[in-house]
Amino acid sequence: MLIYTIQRIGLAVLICVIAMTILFSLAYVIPGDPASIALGPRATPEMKEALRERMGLDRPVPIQLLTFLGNVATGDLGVDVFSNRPVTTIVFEALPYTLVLAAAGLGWAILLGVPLGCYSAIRRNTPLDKLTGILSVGAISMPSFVVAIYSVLVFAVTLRWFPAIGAGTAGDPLNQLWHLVLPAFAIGLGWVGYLARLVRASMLEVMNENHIRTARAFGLPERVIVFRYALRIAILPTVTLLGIAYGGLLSSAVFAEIVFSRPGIGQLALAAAQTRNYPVMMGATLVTVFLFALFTMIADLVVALLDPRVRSGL
Amino acid sequence: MSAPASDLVPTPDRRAELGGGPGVIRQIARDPMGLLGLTLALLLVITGLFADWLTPYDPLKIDVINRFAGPSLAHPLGTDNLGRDLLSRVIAGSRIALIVAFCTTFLAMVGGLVLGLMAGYGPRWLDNGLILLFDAVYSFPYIMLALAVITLFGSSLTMVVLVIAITTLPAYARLVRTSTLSVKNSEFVLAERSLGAGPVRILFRHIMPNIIGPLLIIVSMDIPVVITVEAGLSFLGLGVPPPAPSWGRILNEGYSFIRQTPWVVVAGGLPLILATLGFTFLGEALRDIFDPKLRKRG
Amino acid sequence: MAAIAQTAPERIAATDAVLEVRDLSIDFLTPRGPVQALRRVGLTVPRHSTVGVVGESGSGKTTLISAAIRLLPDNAEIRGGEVLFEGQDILRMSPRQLRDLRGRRISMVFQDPMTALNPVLSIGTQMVDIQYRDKGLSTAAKRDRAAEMLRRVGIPDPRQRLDNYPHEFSGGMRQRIAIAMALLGNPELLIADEPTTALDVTMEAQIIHLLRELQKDYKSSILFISHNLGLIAELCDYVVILYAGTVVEQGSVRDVFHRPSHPYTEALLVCDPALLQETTRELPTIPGEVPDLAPPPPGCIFAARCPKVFDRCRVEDPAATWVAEGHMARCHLAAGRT
Repeated sequence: MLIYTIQRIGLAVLICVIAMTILFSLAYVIPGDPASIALGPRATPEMKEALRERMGLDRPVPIQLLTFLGNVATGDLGVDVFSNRPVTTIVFEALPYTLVLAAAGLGWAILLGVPLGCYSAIRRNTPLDKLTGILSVGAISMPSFVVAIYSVLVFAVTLRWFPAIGAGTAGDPLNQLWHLVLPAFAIGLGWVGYLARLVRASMLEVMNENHIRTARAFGLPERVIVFRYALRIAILPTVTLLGIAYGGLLSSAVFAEIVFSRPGIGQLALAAAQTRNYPVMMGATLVTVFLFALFTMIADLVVALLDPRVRSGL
Repeated sequence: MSAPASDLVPTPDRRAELGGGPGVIRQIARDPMGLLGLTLALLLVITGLFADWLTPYDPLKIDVINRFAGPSLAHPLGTDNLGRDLLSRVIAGSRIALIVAFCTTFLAMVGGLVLGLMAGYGPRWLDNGLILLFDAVYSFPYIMLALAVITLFGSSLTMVVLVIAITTLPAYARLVRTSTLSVKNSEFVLAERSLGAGPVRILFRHIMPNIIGPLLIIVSMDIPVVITVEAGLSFLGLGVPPPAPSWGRILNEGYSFIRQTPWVVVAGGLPLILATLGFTFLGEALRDIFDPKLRKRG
Repeated sequence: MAAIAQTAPERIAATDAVLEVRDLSIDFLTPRGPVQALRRVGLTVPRHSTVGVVGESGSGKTTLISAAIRLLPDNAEIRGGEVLFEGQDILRMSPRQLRDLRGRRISMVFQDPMTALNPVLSIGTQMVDIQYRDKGLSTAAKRDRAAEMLRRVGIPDPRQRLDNYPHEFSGGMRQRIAIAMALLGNPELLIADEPTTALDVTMEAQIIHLLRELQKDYKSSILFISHNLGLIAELCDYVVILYAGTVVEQGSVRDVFHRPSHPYTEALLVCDPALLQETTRELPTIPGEVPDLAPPPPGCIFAARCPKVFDRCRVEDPAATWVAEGHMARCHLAAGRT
């Protein structure tokens, strides 16, 4: 298990390095240089020169890359030229909001979707199963930002049950929770459908396998067979997929933040894109990449924990 | 041992059953969801292709006096904040959706095919390198990559197509690579290679036919995703520049005025939902036909 | 000896029987129509004895034993008959009663040891789980019993190995574990579905040897499915020959193998590689295939492949003929003989 963990960490780090290199080199593909980009069209030649020196743009490119990588490793993501604050601080101020939102969205989706998928598999081809199937496909198909907009329309503007803007007052968890409901709902809806289908398909496959037949032949109660013997295996592909699908989850969170005017990485990135603020943009992107590597790694480790075959290197 | 009945029930030969193109259509038509999907998808394609002839009004024509009108006989979907007819805008938007959907998927498919074949068939170091590259690109949430690229390069239709293509590419490349690897190591290919067949022949005669099928299925299931991504980017103001009436842009404009009138967001969201629903059902039906192993009906 | 012509139910011996299948008919519902997988099958497993069931694939042997523990697939329909275990009809039991039976009074060992055990749970966990009905025992006590059973089937270091996972054992060891699990509940009937087919010959010999010993120690009756006549001859007291859902011959192993009374049995004996008298490049086979059972053809079910077929066979389904005490064959020739 230990070796596997180390391998996974190594792989995650490697992917991060490559992703960073890609981002870094993007800045060099465009005409002009990063200093001009960072400062925008109104910068004077002197400002650009100064920044160029500060950014080390006079040094050869590979050295720049290495410096950049080294900086990132020590937590230095550069400085926002507009506000003069370190990008790291800016990004980490916004990050918790996004993480909470994504977790809330995925959380309720798992709580509803997994049991739904399980139940559909056990009671397959019943009306409930078929209904769940159609609703799942429908829910998956609707883009999350459309769901967000419509839920604002229905629940905030028309019914006035929930607020449409902001994350709530700081220090008041109940108020913040109230503000979290609609955005989390919007993000999670598609996931409920997706998870239900995935779990259903997995369960059906596992329940057909020989070892389940053995368990039945030994008279084990159905409840034990479904949850201890079948679900434990069936959940594995879902866990892996959750790790990978974090990217889509974050994208949904970004849209939700913008629709609901919530603080977070989404708002940060959009503002940066609109003002061509590349250092902040890059910092935010890098952090999301790191999170991806982190979550896929966690997912893989959870799978290894649940499945002894993976640990043995099969 | 699996259920004994399976020994006694012969499995029909799918290819014999399908009978080519018209056969496939017939198969899809048998499934109600598939039929619905096919209808919606065709609706989108036809609307997109003939948009210029179908719009009752000029989608760009401003008519401020009639702004925020609700649905009526003159304007079935109402008008937006500048009095532009929403139905016309939606129809025009379908052409944008269509172009983006097909260009992006085509690009991503070709790119994925080429890179996947290289990874699968080429030397080990190339394979390892490409996989790392795929994983790295895949680790960007598409929206962040899009925002980063647009920060640098500005937004335009080309940019949108490129960004979406690049983010969807790795998934296809991985699929192609896996299929290539398994075919490459299969016995009949090994036999051919021992008889001196070169890589080009192997690639075209053996590997390609086997991977085109699954690739097309995955690609067709991605079309709704691509349409959604373009709409999302337009909604953020980063897609096709105004005044082009992309559905996302309509949603964007409508959202600012959501307290004045709900009809604009309804108009913007409705075609999006119908298009994604349609292509999703269609993709499912196709997959059920071509790859029974993936059937979700237990 | 005068033949006692009996139709259903077929009985081997009149003594106390652990399992008695009477007149069992099972259909499978398929898109092509109902497939008559078992037609009026009868057999008896007397107490403390071993009964072998011989049949090729498609003979219905899997359906038969699935019926014995009532784990039939969803599209199976029981058309008639009884499966009496210790006098009680399994086909009419409630799910609760069935769960009580399974793994405790009737146990099963399956054909493929590689997929029969749950891969993500340790064998200790699985062996403790199946003892869930023994509510008075602590988990430690259950583990003790499991370890003892493992030792009995020849797993070295049983206590440590309780925490191992199935993939850490070889195929032969896994089959031993399966047998250990089956015997944990001290069942009256052990059903073994081709337990050695997936193993190589050395392991096969060991498993058979193990089964024989265990049967003596635990006094279970065994219902042993196989297509290997040599194994049946070695292990079993009685044998039932099953062809395409019909019992074509049954009796003691000695009677059936030394005085086969059905052309199918004769053919099987001729074709068995172990029984070949001389080396040959051409292995004898039975030409033809198992007939389509949806619906079965009229007359004797073996008529299409029978080397001794005559006109009557294709028209009239032969009744069971008792060629000797406890030895039955379904063949017009056998009826004529006695």
